[in-house]
Amino acid sequence: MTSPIDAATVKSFAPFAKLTSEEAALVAQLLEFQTLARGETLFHQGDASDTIYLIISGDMQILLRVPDHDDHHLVTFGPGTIFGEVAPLAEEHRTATATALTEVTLARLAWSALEKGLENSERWAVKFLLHTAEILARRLRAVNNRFAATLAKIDAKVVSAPAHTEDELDSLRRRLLRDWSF
Amino acid sequence: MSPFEQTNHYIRQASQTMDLGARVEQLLLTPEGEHHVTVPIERDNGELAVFTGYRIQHNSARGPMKGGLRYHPAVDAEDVRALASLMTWKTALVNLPFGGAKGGIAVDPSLLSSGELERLTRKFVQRIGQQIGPQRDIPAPDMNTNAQVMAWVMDEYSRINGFSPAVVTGKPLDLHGSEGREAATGRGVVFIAEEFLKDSGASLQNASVAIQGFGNVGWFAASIAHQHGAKVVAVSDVSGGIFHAGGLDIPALEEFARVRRPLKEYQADGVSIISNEDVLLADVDLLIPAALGGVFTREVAFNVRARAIIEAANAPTTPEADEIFAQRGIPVIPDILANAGGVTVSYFEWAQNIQCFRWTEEEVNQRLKQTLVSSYATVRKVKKQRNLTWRTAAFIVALGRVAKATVLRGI
Repeated sequence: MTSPIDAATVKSFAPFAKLTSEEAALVAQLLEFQTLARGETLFHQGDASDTIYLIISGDMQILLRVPDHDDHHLVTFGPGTIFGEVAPLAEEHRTATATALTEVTLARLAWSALEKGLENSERWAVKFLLHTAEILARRLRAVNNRFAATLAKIDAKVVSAPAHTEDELDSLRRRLLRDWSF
Repeated sequence: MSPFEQTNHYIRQASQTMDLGARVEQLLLTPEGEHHVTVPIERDNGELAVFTGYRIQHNSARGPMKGGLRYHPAVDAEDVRALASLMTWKTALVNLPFGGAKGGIAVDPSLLSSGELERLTRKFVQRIGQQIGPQRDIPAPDMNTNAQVMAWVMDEYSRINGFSPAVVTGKPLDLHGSEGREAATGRGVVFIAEEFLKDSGASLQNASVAIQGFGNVGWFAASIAHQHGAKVVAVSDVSGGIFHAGGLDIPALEEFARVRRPLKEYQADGVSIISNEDVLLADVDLLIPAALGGVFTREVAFNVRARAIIEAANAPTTPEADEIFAQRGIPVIPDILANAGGVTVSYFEWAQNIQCFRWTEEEVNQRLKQTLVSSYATVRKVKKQRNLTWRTAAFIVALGRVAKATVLRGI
């Protein structure tokens, strides 16, 4: 589904905010629009990947499949967010599953179009790539913070565990050695 | 109450005082292993005879297990189990690095020739050879077994495992036995009696003593007590007892008993014949039961006139009698302390064998005294601190040591 869009609308999306009007006009020709019904899955973890998405409206839920476990809810993205960039960048299959939490309107950018733009040193492509890199850097930092917090929580659990369950033999050993030395 | 239940009764008492909990208590009461074997021999007349043998290993938390081997028609698993557990507490009480075990064969050895007895002993050792060993389980003489039987045990075990004198104690002096072993239990009884009297400001000198049982233990106890100046006024054997208010002539009696004549045939000035039970009712400073278990029943306990009882025999006091003695304020020095001299010198024999070394009799007796005096002091301390009977205090020390070794090693 394709619908024409003007340069001003493109510039209103955060990833393209720094484009000039000329550059935005170029992008307007490359974007395609798509709508998803609530609960519809856009792609599954493991699918082939060749597209980057920009949320125009609605919320997308990103789920990570964990072996022998319920799917882990990774993150929910709202309007103005780009997603689906990880797999094509790394030349991999989709690393998570994306499902519409609400009715969603997306703008799609073919990965091949971005690659072509980069090959031709087109400004919009470089700016978009920089923006993507910045987003990835922020997400990595967030993940690092969460990892550190999780580690601290695990440490706290390990230290506090014996206080809750005193071993029967341990307590007898202590008591015998304390009260019944002959 | 069976002997096993009787021992367990005292252990439970101690365990409750120490609040060990039901699970640990059960663990400490139950034998680690029971070996029931069939022991066939060819009789001298060519017939086949089949006997049942036992080795019950009660607890090894504190070290290799230690305990006697008895030959008696009444031997059964129940009996042996009780005696095995008693060994655990006894070795712990005198702080030997041993656990407890006991064994036996249900046989009347008086019906066997010496050759048959040897074949029986060797076959039994073949049957339990995997279960015994100098660092595993070390048998010793007991009812109707002697140094010769132990020599056969050593020889048969050594045939399979190489020369191993430390696999058994109570061996003949000429075959890696220890000086002082034969008299050890009787001597220990006297050491304990001496310590007990010292506590109340008295001494063995002129103390009056009655001894029931004139076997190995009673015989040496009488003899050594006499050497220490005690006045032995009554002794008895299965035939009956003799009494002399001024003190029996012990050296003359020893001479008499050496030829194995029944005591009731003994005659001397001032000596009267009394019944075996009358010995228990003698008006004396120290009463030493050195014969069978269970002689102090409820009725006897009410009528005992002695100032104190030193239990040289195993389990002479029934639990009901024990309570009566406690109510009447008659102190009872319990078997596990009073007759621990035997196993203590057994330990010395094992230690000498392990080191390929020999101690003199003076050295053995001196170390024996040291061991028993210090065990007595420990029991006395616990008794006074917590206001307990001698028996409960002794079982607490014993049980405490085994429990500590168990929890330190881990289940």
